[in-house]
Amino acid sequence: MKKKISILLILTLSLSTILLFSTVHPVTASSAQGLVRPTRTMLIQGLETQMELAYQREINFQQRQGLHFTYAATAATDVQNIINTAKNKNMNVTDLETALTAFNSQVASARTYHDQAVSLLLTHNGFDVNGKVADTQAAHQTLDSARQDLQMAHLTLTSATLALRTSLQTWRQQNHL
Amino acid sequence: MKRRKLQIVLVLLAASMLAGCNGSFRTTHNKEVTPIPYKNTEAIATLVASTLTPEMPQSTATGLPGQPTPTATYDSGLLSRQIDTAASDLDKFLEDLNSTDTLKDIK
Repeated sequence: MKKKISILLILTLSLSTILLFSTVHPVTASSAQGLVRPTRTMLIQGLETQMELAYQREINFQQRQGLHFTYAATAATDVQNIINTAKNKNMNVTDLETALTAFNSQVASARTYHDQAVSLLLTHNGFDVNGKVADTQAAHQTLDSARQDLQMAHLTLTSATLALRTSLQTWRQQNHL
Repeated sequence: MKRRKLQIVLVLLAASMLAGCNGSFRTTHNKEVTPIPYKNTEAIATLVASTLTPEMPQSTATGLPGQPTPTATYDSGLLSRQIDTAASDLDKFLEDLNSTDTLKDIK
């Protein structure tokens, strides 16, 4: 009886030793194939590189979007010229005037979003003067806020321009021009 | 002497024939072209007016004191051209807005 118990004890002990060893030193597929598992430092470095690239892309985007406000001003002048000429011909331009007022208002709103993004990117919280990440949390916040503002400005501009284009087309058709 | 007279007559005849032919060429070969009478200012003015673009704004002379101020007159061509310009500018703008829609990549 004692012998049986001792055999059972030995078996249990050896089994638990094997299990313990396997959890402490797991043989993973990557180590088996000779691949290096990414360390925490490597992951952070990769993330920071991505953030630096995103920061640069946002700067490029805001510069290009700045040109869109010049185009918007040209479009507004074009439509104002039409209104002036049509008024001299005693034509009804109420719809066109309403559309232009709405367009100018939306462009002003888009400008506010755009300026907020420019301000955030110029302050560059979380980034140093060379655009390198200095504080991951702050950098992430800067990128996220600037992206949202740039996106809102872009969407507002697109929506305003589409509405003005449609109004102009409708007015032209109504007046058989 | 007689021969000399005949020669003069022949030369004169030839000259008159040539002059006659020239006149007939003008009338027969250019029938479809109606020449503008020289010094006819009215006809020239009509021709010039027809070649000019009708969209050109008319005179906008400033009013003199004591006289009614003339208003600028526009024709429909100017308005059409302004609408075309605005439509073209808006289309180009929309195209550019679409091409810069890359913010979805910035995350």
